Formats: sequence, C-alpha cells, structure tokens
Amino acid sequence: MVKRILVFSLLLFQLILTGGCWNRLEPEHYAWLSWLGLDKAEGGKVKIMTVVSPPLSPVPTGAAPPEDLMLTSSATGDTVFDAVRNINAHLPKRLFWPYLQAVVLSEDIARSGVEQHLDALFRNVRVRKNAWVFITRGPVDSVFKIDPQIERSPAALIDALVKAEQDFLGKSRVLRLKEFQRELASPGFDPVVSVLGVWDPKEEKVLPPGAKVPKKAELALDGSAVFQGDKLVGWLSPAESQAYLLGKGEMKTGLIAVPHPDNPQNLAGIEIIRSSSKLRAEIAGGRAVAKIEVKISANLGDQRFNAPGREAEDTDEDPDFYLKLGEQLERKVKSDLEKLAAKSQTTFDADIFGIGDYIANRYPNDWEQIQSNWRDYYKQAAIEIEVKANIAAANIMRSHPPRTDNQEQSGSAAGEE
Amino acid sequence: MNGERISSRQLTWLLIIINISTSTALVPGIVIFYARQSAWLAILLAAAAAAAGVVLNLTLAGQFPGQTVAQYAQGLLGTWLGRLAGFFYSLTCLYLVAVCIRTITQVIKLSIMPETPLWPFVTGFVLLTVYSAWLGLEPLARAGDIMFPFALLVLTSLFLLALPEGKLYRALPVLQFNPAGIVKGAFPSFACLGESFVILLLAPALNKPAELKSASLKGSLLSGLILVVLTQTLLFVQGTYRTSAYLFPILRTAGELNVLDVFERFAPFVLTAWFTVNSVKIGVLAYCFALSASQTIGLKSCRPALLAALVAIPLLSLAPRSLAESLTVWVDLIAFKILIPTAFLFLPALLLLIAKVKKHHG
Amino acid sequence: MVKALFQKLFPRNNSGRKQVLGSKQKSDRPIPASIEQAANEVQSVMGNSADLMVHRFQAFAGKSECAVVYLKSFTDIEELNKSVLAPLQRFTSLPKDMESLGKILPQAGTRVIASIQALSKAIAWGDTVLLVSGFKSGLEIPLKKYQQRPVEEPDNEKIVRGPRDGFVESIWSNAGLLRQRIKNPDFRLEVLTLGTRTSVEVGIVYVEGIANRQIVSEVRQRLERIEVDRLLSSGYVGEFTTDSPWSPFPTSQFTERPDHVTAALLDGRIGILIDGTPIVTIVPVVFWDFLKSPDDYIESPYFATLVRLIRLLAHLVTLLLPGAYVAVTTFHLEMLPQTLAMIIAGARTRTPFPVAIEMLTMELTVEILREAGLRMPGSFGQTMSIVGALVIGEASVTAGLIEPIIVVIVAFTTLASFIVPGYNAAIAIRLLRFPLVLLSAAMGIFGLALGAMFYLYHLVSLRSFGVPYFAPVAPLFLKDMGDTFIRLPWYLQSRRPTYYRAEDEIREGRDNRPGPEKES
Repeated sequence: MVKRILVFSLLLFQLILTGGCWNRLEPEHYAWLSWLGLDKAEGGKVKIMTVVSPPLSPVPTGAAPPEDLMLTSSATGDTVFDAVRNINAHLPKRLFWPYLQAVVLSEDIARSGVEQHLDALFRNVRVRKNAWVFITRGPVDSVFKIDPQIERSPAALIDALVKAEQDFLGKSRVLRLKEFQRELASPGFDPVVSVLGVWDPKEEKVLPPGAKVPKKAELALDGSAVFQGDKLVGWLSPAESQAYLLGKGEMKTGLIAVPHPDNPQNLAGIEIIRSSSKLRAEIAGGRAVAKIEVKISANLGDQRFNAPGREAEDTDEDPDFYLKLGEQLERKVKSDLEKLAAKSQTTFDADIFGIGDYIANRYPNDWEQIQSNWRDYYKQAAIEIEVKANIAAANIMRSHPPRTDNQEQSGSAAGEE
Repeated sequence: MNGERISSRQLTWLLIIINISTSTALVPGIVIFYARQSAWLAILLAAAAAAAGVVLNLTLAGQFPGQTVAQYAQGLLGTWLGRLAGFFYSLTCLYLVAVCIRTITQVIKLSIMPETPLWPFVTGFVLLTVYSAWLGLEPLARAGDIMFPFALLVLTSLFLLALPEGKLYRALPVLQFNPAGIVKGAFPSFACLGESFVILLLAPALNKPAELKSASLKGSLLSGLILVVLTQTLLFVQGTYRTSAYLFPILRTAGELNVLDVFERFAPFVLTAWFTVNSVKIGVLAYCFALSASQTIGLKSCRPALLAALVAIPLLSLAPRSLAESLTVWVDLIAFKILIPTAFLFLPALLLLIAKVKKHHG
Repeated sequence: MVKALFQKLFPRNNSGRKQVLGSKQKSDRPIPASIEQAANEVQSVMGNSADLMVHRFQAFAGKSECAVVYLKSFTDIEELNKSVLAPLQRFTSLPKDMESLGKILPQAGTRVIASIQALSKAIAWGDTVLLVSGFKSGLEIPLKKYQQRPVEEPDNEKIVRGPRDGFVESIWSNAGLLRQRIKNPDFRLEVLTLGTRTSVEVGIVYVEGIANRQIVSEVRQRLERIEVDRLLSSGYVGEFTTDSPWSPFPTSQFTERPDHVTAALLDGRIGILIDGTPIVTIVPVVFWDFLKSPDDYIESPYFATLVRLIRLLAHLVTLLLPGAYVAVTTFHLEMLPQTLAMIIAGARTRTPFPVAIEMLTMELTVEILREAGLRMPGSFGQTMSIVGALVIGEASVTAGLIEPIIVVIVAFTTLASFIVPGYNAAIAIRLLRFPLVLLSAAMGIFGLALGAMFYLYHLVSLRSFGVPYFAPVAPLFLKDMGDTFIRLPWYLQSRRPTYYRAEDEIREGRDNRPGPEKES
C-alpha cells in the first residue's frame, strides 16, 4: 500500500506544480489566421499580409453578422518570422496558425526564390501544411482588398474556390504547402503553382497586376506559374495548365473541346471523368529518355455545329463515332502536351513533370553521375507522350428526337446539360 | 518477483516492442539519410547482424538455464568482475531508459507543446515507468499484449490514410551502390535492434524454456521486417529527399495528413500512441535494470533499486542541454556506439568464451 | 526498508485480535435436569429478552413436565403447536432419553444439544428447544419463520426478454432458485457461518466438475479467513476477499438475477450467497464481464455484438471524453475540424473560467444531482434531478458561466456511464475520470495518455482469485475472443472460457450447427 500512496502522492504533487500550464491558451485568445501573403517591401524587408477570421458563435444572438469579414493587417520585418511577430504591434491577439488556408506569394518574392521565405512556415509545427499555395502576378495587395459576395467568409472562400477548380474546372494547378515543399526539396522537380488573381466584375476579366481593386471584386484562378528550382520563371495559360494536369495525372475533371471527327469545324465538348498518367524515364545512350502515358476516360458533354447544315448525324448509338471522338481527343491532348513539354525544355528550362525525380528514385546510381548537369540533360531529353482516351458515354443518350427525314436544322442542337 | 512467468509469444511481442517502438520514429530518417535508396538493404543487413547477435546471446543464456546474466557473470568472472558486469547491464538499461524518456518527451514537447518546459513531461514519464516496473514483468507482458496490436493498428491506419499521397516509383526497392552509406545507415538500425540483449535478463522468466530460441529469433527478425516495411512506406509517401530532411519523418507524415478535407493533424494522436507503446518498452528496460541491480547486490526484491531509479532517471534525462546534444552525443555516441554493442556483442562473447574454456577445463 | 519502518510505526496487533472479536468466553455448563433451573439459566444468558418465551406443559400423559423455549419473533408458532406440542400430548410413554424422543417426534432436522451455551445459541438462531424434566439435554427443533418477500423481478437489473425472477433475502430460497435451474447432483452448496456477532450463513455454490478446484478452495479459504463482527451485505464479502483491496476496480461481480448466476456457474465460476441480502457475488471476474449482460445471449449475435461494442465505447467515453475535451481545447485545438474549432472558440469568448474548471464543476454538479436524485423520497427523485439538470444547465449557459458544449459533453458522459451493465465497474470509471481531467489540464493529451497508461498498468496487474483481470485480452487468448467484444452464435462457442480454468472445457456437442437436415 505504501507504494500506491507514494506513487499517487508524487503524481498529485507534480500536478499541483504543473498547475501553471505554460502552454495553456484558450481558443478565445487566438486570432485565426486564414490567409498569409508574402511580398517584398522597401529596403530589402519582407512584408506580410494577413486575413484573420472571427470565431463563430453557437448561440444565435439575433445580431446581424458583421459587414466586413475580411479583417486584414500587414507588417514588415527583416525576415518573415520577424514580420509575423511585428504584426502584433497592432493586432491584439496571437496569430493562430493551424487553420491557415492560403499562402499567397507575390511575383517579386517568387522570382527571387521562395525557399528562404517559406522556411519560417516549414519549421513551425503549428503552421498548417495542408494550406494552399498561390502566386500572384505583381504584388499581393490586390488579393487582400477583395470584397467577395458569394462566399463571404475568408476561412471558407479558398477551400470553396479550390474545390470548384478541382471538381469542375481543372485549369490551374492548385497544390498544398506540403506538396510544394516536397517538390522544392527534390532536385529532380520543378514545381508548378496556381496563380491567384482578382476578378473585376465590371470588366468581367481578371485585373491586370497593380490595377486598383474595384468594389465587389472576387478571387479568380488564372492559370499557373512555373518554377525553376525555387525561382519563378514563367506562366502557364489555363489551357496549358489543363494539359499539364493531364500529363501529371492530377486532373479530376475538366472539359476539353475537340474538333468533331466528321467535320473539324464542328466541336464536341468532352468532359473528362477520370485520368491517370504514368511516367517512365531512364538514362539511355547519354541522354534522358522519358515516356508519359496518359489514360483518359471521358464523356461526351455537348456538341456544337458550326458548319452550315447538319453534317453530323445524331450518332449517339454509333460505337465508331465514340472511337473516332476518342482519337480526336488523344490527338488534341498529345499535341498540347508535346507543346508544353517542348516549352518547358526551351523557354522555362524547368523539369515540370518530375522526370529527374523519377530517375533519382529508380536509377539512383545513374542520377549520382548526372545530378549536377541535370539541367543540360533535361534540355536534351527525349520526352515521348502517349495518350489513350476512351469516351465512355454521352451525358444523355439523345439531345433531340431522332430525325425522320432530312429537314433542315439550325446548328444549335447542343445537348441540354 | 522471481516467480514471474511469461509465455514465449509474450516474449516475442515484448522483443518487437523493445526493438521497434523508439526506432519507428528515429531509424527511417537516419537510414534514408545515409543509404538513400538502399535503405531496405541496410536495414536487412542490420537485421541479419542482429539475428546473429541474438544467437550469440541465446547460446550464452543456454549455458546457464534459469539464471540471468547478473547471476552467472559472478560465477564466470569471479565476484568482483562479475558484479562489475552485472552493474554494467543494469547501468546500460538505466541509461537507455533515461535516453528514451528524454527523446520521447522532447519530441512530444517540441511537436505539440513547444512552450512548456521539459521536466513535467520527464517526471510524469518516470513515475509511470517506475510504477510499471514496480508491478513486475507479468503486467508489463500483458500490457505488451495490448500495446503491440495497438501499435500495428496505428501504423497501418496511418499508412492507409497516407496512401493517396504516395507514388509507387519512390518505394520500389532498388540497389543504390554506396557501401559507405549502407554501412553508415545499417549501424543505427543494428544498434536499435541490439536492444534485444534484454533476453539475457528475461530468459529465466519464460514458462517454456525450450521455446526461448525460436521466440527471440522471431522477435528480432520480425522487428527488422517491420522496420523495412516502414521505411519503404515512408519513401512511398514522402520521397527520399523529404524523408531524409526530417529527424522524425513519420511524425511529419502524420501531421500533414488530410482525410476528407475535414480531419487533419493526426500528430498528437500518433505521438500519444507512440508514447504509450514506448512506455511498455521503457518499463521492461527499467525492470531489467532493477532485476540486474538487485541480483548483483544480492537483494531479494527489485523495489529498492526502483526507488533509486526514481531519482537517477530524471537526473540523467534532464542532463543533455539540447535536442541535438541528446541525439548526437547521448544517443548516437554513447548508446549506439558504446553501450549497446558492448552489452549485445562484446560482453556476451567474452562470457561465452570463458564459459566454454571453463567447461573444457573443468 | 520503508516497509520495516512502517511496521515499526504501526505495529499490527495480531495476538489481541481474537479476544476483541469473540463474544465473552462463558463457562460452558451442561443443561441441568430441572426445567426451572434450565429456563432460568437461558433467561440469564439472553438477558431476559422480551421475545424469549418459555412454555411449560405436561406431556406423556401427564407423566412428565416439559418446556419449549423459543423466540416469539422468530418462530412459527402454528407449526410449533401442530408438530411438537400436539404429538407430545399424544405420546403415552416417556422415551428413555432425548435422542429416542427426537426419533419419534414427527419433525425433520432435530438435534440433541447438551450445553447451556449450545442451547442459547440455538434459540438465537431461531430454533425451538424442547426440554424435558429429568433429561440433561435439550432437543433443538428447527421452526424458524423468516419474514420474506416474494420472488420478483429485480428493479436494478431489468432485461427485455428473460426470466422475471430475482433473488430474495434468504440464502435457502436463493439456493432453491439456482437448484431449480441446475437440476444436477454435481451442484454444490457449502455453507459457512461468518460474522462473529451476526452469525450470517454464507454459501459457496459451484458445479463440481466444471469449477476449478483450486479456485473453489481459494474462495473457501478466503471466506474462512474473514473475522469480523458483521457481514451485512455482499459488499463486505467482496472487500474481504478481493485480491487487491486498494484498487478502485471491483474484482467480484454482483447480481440479483438467478439466470445470470446460473450462466456463471456453468462457465466454471463460483457464486457466493449471503443470507440477508438478495445480491449474489460471482467470482472470479474479468474486466470484460462487466460489459456483458444476460440480454446478449437472448438477442441475435449481431445485435449483441453491436451493443457490446457500444458499451465498450461508452466506458471509454466516460473515462476519456472530459479529459480529452479539456486537453484538446486548451492545448491542441488544431486537431479539430475548422468549423468545430471556431464554434468552440465562439462559445468560449463569453465564459470567464478556464475549460478545466468548467468541466470539473459541471461533472461535480452532475454527481451531486445523481446522488440527490437517489436520496430524494419516492417520485421526487426523478423530477427533481431532471429539473435540477435543466435549470442548472440552461441557466448557467444563458448567464455565460458555462459554455454550452461543456454541458453537452457532461450530459453525454453521464448518460454513457449508465450504459454499462456492471454498476460497480461503472462507478469506478466515473470516479477515475476526475484525475484525468486534472492531468489533461496540466499536460494536454500527453497527460491524458499518461493517466490512461497508469490505469492500464494497474488494470493488467490486477487478478481476481488468480485470474488475470484483463484476460482474455491481456494475456491474450485468441480462442476466447468469440465472446468478449463480439458474441459469436452459440453453436460456435463449444468451449468454456479458458481463463476461468474450468475442469471441463467442453460445453457443447460437435455437430451443433443449426439448419435443415442435410440429404446425403
């Protein structure tokens, strides 16, 4: 009995001593950081911008929710961490990192190399590594001045935007901080990162960098940015980003318009349901040889008949038509990807498909030899692209009742969606 | 305390727990750092070497059935040298207890409660350790019966959750030819598996002594296998560069999981599970310390030694000044390079040699 | 060393123990031949107790003077008239001694006693003693009449579909209820008399050939070792026979249901019946027995499995949830999904105290309400506790003293603690959640795990009459897993649980798989 009394009294003793609770921080003392922007400031300093979200109240108070949910503040410092601490000069609560939604990097900072600036985030265990990373064209300020109308809470806005992008659009490569870090860490990888812009509702287009942000501006995704190592080197248009996602096997869904097999003037909208890609690479005969195999399974979404007269029959029941349509898709994706690969070798000089990473993992002995000259090898690399597509079905079986005779049709027999 | 009996399955499970509970966090990062793609080979080599060491230990234990090393060392080496050997074993166990407690509490503190000082964690852990060793070997073995399946469950579910982030080409084992790296990577794994030397102290407790050999070898080899699987899975999820960038890549992986976009940050869970599994290992080591110490002095009960440990362990645990110091000097240099090889290989080999010579002459 | 010191400080007085406990040693005299004298001596021993009756009469055709001595409060007088006095009047010749008189008297269970002390003891036990003038002995005639309530369903252990009888306060009726179910000569009932001043009959029941002999003799020894003036309920016996008296966890199971005890006996366990209480103790017990209910074997295996898993979950929730909530909200908020975390933060902006204090206060409040509801007379109880809970919960939330989520957690925990069939296990768990809240408040989830590990080590170190408390999980017996967390269909459970070490393991024939007759 002595033993238990001993143990428990010691435990109790310890409890009383630890009653101080050094790490205790009640949730009401947090400033819930949702977005973090990094930019360069004058005098070689770093500027950070933040958006914090107010906590939700579970007890219905009857009061109207606050008008402005975008609570922004900013600070500058010698390093990112310094700036983060400096922000408490006017922010009365402690920044709470675990619910960080987005890290937005300005073009300036991206061009000068991001790794040194992201170090503060990578080291801090509290920072949410599942946050999304974005690049802006020009300074980041404009993103923090938006006034979103549809999803007003900044804590939910980014997730909603990314989800919509992934599930419906597929034209920008959004990636999480941890994935960005993983690709930055590997010498055989040059990351591609989504570009965040501001949507001008009046002009109905993405604002050019540096322009004044109008009222009711929304966020918009605007293609992707290409890095070489950790330095920004160029931009991908939305269409190029789409091809890139297909080549990486990261596309969830997306829509590609391909020429109709019967008459190239007519278009068919193909909805990609599933896609995967397989990369294989090796060093053969003193150069890198890579092969990217893309497999796509898709549905026919709609058709558009530009050509005068209805050239295409209603071919919903014709298996040949779907085969041909699939070939059209293959041709289109293949040429897009080849163009992209060539551009990455010549213009960007960035190994965006991770061919080096593959070689480093599968043929580590070869990689040791060529690692220091990898950029040269990449420029010379033979990248073969193979696409296999299958159009599984039309979204609906018939868009209109089958024609009985050859009565004239205007060209708007698109499927209802 | 001497009437305690464990079954051979319990011994196997205890050995696996002892071998892998700390090393799940520590070994993959180090091995991948040195051996890169050949990490699997390095660990397999280490496992084979450790199995050979276990055979050596078993041969020694087989010479003196029903006795622990602390008992027969006195017969072999004479009273004073034998006592020295007994003390060496108890001090090695004590040191390992202190170092493990230090490492675990430090990692927990750094990962989830960075602003809290270290000593409350250490004190709590030491109390738990002494309490569990106080209860004896049987409860520890029973706790192992719960904790081993629990550990496997946690590891498996962790990797199932991380599966979508993986790329197959990262995990396929390939031979990267760099002998220096492979040896450098194999050594820490060998040292971790070398903690099997506790069978020298636990052997008499087995209820069926005939099964000692198969049970210990099974434990040692299975631990190696688990480590290989673990390392390859980490490569699969994180890739070589990122795995070697972190000391505790498995915690990283847990901390960055994302399930259904709702559940994230499993690090506290995983750390807690890691801590609970380790408490069994550390309890067994503390028990070994007390057993060896009391048998060396000739005490009937282990408990006075445990009371001494209550004071000694916190002092040892809190001695290193930084994480880097505790890892490079206390773990890598003293534990891995000096204490474990001596306790696992050199001293048993010496004792075995003397035993053979004595038998030959007598 | 510490032990020696302790012993020095608090010496155990082993020698003086017997004298304190035993009633005063009186000189044991034989019963005198004179009835007058004998009656006087009994009256002096029993201190002229008001219900002590000495009825004198002439019997054997007036040849001999007789007397019956009995307690009015404790004796069936009708039966006394009918089967003792009436026959005695009819007898004509005086038998030569008391023994032959006992043989001709139409009454079972008579016994000849020779000393005054035995005489007064027999009377105190409720027997009637017949004295015949000239004989230096008395005849003890069992004519006890208990005040006994009828057999009815126990209120605290109701099940949906099952037998409706329950134990009563008499050990013999209870043994009868068990005999009714186990009609087998191997059924054993051993009775000991314990309690130096209360003389309670304590019965050990088991089935010979199933129950492990060592465990039976261990139970017998532990019961025989008890030396205490009273044994008023099964709790006394449980505490005196436990393996580890300081453990908060019960190492014996209590039940009022004969079917429950029957099932336990047939698994090789042992029942302890105590006269004067309707609660039967079952030993040995493992932790998981408290998660089982007789219902499980009545309903379908799927449902039984689901319910058992829910009970296990409820156990864990009761133990861990308050601590986990405190740990997560004070240290690891990031573990929660964003929306939930923000709701908690929003709720906390209005409350003045740290989470741990709120949690402890509310848990204590619930315990107060529970105890108050238990003590409040009759129908007040339920109403008052509901009103109390509603008023306190609602008002403290509205006033901003307590955050609403704490109320949800506390209510859920309380509810969960009542799910578990083993009441004594549930209160242990309820008690143990408080240290966990404190540890969590001090060290977060590490503290929670630390406390939980202390409990785990304690639990696995426990034994109940030699059976490891956590069997079949630790030590692991895979064979017995079919009836621990899950419940397999009966036809698959052909062996008794190994951890009770039954003498005979098989309980079913081999070809028990139900189904239509197969054509061959």
